Amino acid sequence: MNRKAQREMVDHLSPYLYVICRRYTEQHEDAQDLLQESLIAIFNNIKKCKADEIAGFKAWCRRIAINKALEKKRKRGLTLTTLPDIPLSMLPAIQSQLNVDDILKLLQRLPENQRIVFNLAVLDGFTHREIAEMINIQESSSRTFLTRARQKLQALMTANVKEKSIKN
Amino acid sequence: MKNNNFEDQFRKTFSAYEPNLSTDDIWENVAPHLKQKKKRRFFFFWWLIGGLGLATLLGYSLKQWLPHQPMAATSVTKTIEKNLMPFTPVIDSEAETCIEPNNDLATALAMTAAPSIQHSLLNVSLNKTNNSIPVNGIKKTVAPSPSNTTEGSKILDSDATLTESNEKESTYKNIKEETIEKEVSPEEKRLKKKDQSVDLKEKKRKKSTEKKKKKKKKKKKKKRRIKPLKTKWKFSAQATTGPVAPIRIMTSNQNETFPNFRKENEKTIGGFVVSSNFIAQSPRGLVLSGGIEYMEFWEKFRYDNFEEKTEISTGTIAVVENAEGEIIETIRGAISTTTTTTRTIRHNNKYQYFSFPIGIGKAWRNRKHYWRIYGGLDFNLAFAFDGKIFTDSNVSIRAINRRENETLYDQFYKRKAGIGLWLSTEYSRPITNQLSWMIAPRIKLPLASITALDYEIKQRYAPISLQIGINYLINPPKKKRRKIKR
Repeated sequence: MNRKAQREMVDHLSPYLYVICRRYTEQHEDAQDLLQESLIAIFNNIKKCKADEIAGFKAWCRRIAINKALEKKRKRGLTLTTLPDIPLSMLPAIQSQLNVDDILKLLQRLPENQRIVFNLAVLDGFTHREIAEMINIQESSSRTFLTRARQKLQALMTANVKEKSIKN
Repeated sequence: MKNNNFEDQFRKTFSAYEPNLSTDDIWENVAPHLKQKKKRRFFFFWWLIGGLGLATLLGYSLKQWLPHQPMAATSVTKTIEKNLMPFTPVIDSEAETCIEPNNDLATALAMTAAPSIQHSLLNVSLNKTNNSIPVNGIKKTVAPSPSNTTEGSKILDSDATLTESNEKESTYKNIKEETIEKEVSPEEKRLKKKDQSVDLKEKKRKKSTEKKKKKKKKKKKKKRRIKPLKTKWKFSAQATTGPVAPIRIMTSNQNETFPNFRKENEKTIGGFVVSSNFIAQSPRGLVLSGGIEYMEFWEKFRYDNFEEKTEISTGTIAVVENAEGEIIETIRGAISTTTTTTRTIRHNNKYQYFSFPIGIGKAWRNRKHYWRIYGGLDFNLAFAFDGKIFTDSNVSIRAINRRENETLYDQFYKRKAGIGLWLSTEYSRPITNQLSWMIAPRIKLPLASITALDYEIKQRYAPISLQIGINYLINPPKKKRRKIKR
């Protein structure tokens, strides 16, 4: 691949991949490191990509970034414990407008396993079966983590809205 | 439903988010870790190896195939002898004749007065002419031709003898120097030894420091390396078929006329090959293959047998006529009439091979198509000949068939053709996710003869085939499609 083309691809892919990396990391620097590692992996394995369209290529890049993030977490010694199933309950609706920083802050307040499952299931669109395979847990545990994450996020968001209304 | 409200909101905010990133910094960090574009030289290098291999195989087979020409060889030796006549070596006394009249160094030597300079210059000139032959430590020269002697070179007559004496002096000096070296005092020797030991220690230190540096560099390199994504071996099954053009290699230890006679009367036509292979390909392109192969080719056997018959009968030999042209007398006698009948024997000889080829090679992938070069050993499991052959040089023809007469068959042909080598290149393009079509030119070189040990002729075939077929990928990569919930 041409160096010029690679440079252009970095310009094009960086913002898209950064958002993904940022969701899986706590700090901006970590996200940037993860982004760089993902880009290196993408360029070095670009021949293996069989996507014919841009959407397919972007999905392949996203998958690499997510894999890199999970790999890093695994190296750090993240152990995802299996939890017992809990019944789903109806959650209150939130009607406030949140920006990215707010959402990231909210996500960071979640326990790591819940955050990963929430990211994978809700924002990246993986099924519980796929998530179970990816992070080596049971399918039911994945569902439980997601439900708990939702519950906690609801609670955090209501608190956030209250804080804002008091300030105003 | 309520869950989806905030989740949708999350998705929307993330999709609309455009972070302020300095891509220059990212590029600076990423660029040094990227693999540089592979040079095509490597690809051509493998092709070059394959091509050279093919060329050597073909050359070797052609050399074996072509008949010997002893007559041409004798004529060459004669001409060499003729050419050598004027260049007979002349020793010592005729040394002056070696210096060519046009040689500038020789003329310069003639002009110089000092004998030592003359001597050195003479040595240089002698070495340049390439005619000097050292014999028993004395330089003896070879004259290019007796006609080359000139007046200028005659002056050097005495100098040529000088070279001998000077060389002797130099050897004497060398011996003296050696004896002087032997008389060195023990203290000096000790000092020398000390110096040597110090040098050795310094060298060892340098080596150790260099090794340490190399290790450090390696460690750094290892740290920088980023593991590639995990990929699996690809297993595929092949089914191919194609035409075969066999190159015949026929020799005889006793008489070359018999194989030449057979070659004239037996013309190879061609045949076909059917094979199925199992191929394993590593993520790095290493190819391992094994399979079974059936090959059959034919040969046109044609021999024109001439038979002559002479019959003697009585009849009019001569007639005596008068002036008017009337027959006066008829003379009768014995008349011999020869009749020649040509009987052509025609047959299509059939050679059948059933073998087990195994191989190793390298594969390259360029977007969707594959290039492979591989070769290896070919183990023949069974061989059969069915047809007519000349059993010996007296032109006695026998029909040989393995099924009908096994004892006769074993006298002339083997049941297994032995081990051979094979080399192939392959190009394949995908049709579907698992299927791909392929084309592969292939050459084989058998290492053993197909004829029996007792039979005079040693015969083998190097078949060149063009195989076309289908490649079925057994373990295709799984396509995981995900739909983003919205």
